[in-house]
Amino acid sequence: MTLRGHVPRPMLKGPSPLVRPASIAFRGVCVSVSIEVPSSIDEFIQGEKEPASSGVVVVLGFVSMLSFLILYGILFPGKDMPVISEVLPMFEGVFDSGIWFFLLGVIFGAFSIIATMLTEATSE
Amino acid sequence: MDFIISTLATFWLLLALSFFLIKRGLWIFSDVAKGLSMFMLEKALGPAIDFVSGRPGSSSSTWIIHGLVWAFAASTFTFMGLWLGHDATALHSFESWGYHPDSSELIYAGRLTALFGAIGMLVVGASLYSLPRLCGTHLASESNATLVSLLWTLSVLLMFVGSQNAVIVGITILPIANLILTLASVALVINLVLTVSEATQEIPFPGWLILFAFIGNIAAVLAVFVSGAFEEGVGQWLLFHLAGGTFFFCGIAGVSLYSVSVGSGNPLWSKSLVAFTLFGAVITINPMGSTDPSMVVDLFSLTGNELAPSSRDVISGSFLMALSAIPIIALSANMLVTMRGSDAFVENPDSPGIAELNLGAWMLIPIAIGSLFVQTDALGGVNELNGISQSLDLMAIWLVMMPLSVGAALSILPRASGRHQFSANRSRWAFWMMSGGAFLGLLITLMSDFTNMALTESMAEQGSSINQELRKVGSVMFYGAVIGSIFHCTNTISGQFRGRILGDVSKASLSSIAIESYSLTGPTTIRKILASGATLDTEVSPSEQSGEKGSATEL
Repeated sequence: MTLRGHVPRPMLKGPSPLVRPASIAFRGVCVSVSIEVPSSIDEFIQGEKEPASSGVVVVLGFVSMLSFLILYGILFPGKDMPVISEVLPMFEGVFDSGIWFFLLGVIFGAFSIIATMLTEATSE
Repeated sequence: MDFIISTLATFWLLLALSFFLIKRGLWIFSDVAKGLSMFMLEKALGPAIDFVSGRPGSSSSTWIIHGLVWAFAASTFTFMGLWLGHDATALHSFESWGYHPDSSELIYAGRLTALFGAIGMLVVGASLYSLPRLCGTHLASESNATLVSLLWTLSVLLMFVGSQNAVIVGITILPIANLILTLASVALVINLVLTVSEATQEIPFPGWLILFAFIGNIAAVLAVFVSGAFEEGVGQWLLFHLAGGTFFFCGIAGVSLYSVSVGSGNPLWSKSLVAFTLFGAVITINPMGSTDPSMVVDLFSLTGNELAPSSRDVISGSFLMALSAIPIIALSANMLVTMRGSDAFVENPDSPGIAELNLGAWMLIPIAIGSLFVQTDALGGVNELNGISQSLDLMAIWLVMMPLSVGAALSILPRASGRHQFSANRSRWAFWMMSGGAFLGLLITLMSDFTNMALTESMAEQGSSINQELRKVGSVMFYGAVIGSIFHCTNTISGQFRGRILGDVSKASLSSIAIESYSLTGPTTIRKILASGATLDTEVSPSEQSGEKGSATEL
């Protein structure tokens, strides 16, 4: 998609081909200019790299989920969790130590290593 | 009978002979020996050699990736072993499959996979890249070195199996694993000696450290068997520490000194200190490691005997262990001063592995001193500090050898493969998780050991609950090392395919909102620079402000 006559916003950074020339033009000597900057550009822009703080949002969601589970126990004391309370007794006597929570993480890690190997080798 | 000095004399003689032969060659037989060795490394293997890549640096990358995967396995086994130390029936559900996991067996598996799988393979991987560079030449056979990594991995896999089930179908597993490992070691020695024979420059001391790591290990085994000390407890103890002092200490020292200079961009601080490290490492007895030489007994299928040294053995052994403080302090000091002032820390993605090298160099001296006390106590037959031997051994593995070998490997891998790590952010997380988890986990376990020793000494009738609580916290903390090793594995594997190409001038930004460069046009505060989205890796470039009238940008 081409946008003739539009001057890209110089402060934007990212993979967009529109942004690149502007960032190059503004590197080096800083020149005060007055140009018409459009309020929006008609193109979807997404950064290639993930901001480090985005993980906080996921953790926040996870903590909220745990909070709601605790809240359920307070609001409906003595009542079992739907579905989960029926599934968990199946594993009684098997996963009866805290080590299994950690081993689930280990299993997840092992599969993530294997998955990384497979996907990276076949992605080209 | 006194075994220590007579065995060491044989060991030193073998090393001197190796040095002489490497420097002088085999007279008129040199060319024949070289041709025959190259034939054995490549053509004699037939079609197998064509399955692997012979690209420069490929062998080093393969060994390093194998090593990191073994680091994950080793941390998992050690974590499980530490957990079962306070909750022995945690994995009893495995018994329905005929597997009876035990704390000591899992820690043993963790030690074997950490030493030979992770640290061993990382040191070999880093050596295969750094030794040819130090000699100003190329590796004699990249293909053979790559192929041998599979053999080595097979032997470590057998070691894990053998640690859990010593005899399967009447076959003792650990000696077979050791045999395969020896075969791989011999191939590596031939490959490295052939590489050194093509040296175009004087080999610097780190190169000799790497070379003696490989040759010294074989010389130590030969010396103990030639002197007949292998049947005695003191001979088995000596072989355990000679292998630790040569292959592990010399190997780690060689690749760490190379990496610390290459990674930080500073010249190695002192050549004399490297010389002290080299000669000290082969002349003295390294105290780091367990007091129990059962690993040697199992790997060589020997009859385990009690450690009962003569009085002269106690004196000579204690003296030589105390002398080892010289190479250890020399190595630590040389590394730390070489890293000075280069901004090469964990926040700098252009210097991967430096943070690990820094940690290993700092932890080297306190853990070596602690090990010295424990070993002297064990050799003298006092055994008052035997209770902390296992924790101190794990600390030597996870806080000295592992950080130094991982650091050296991470520093060398981008140069060998041509690509950086995939994410500097994940690399940073891996460092903090692995080092923090290992440090806190093992320190708390050590505290529990001390509590246990105090209770035993006071002959308390019932154990303290705090002891179990400390072990529980220690094992949970150590889980950080497992997560850190997973991060290292995924980051390294992805980096091999999608990492920033080495030498690419564009800087890797940490996130989509981080800016790469910031033009400083006048006085400003650091707060304002950081508020604009700058990170510690943003390049601040001062530029003059122009008074010219602005106009529209020409496209």
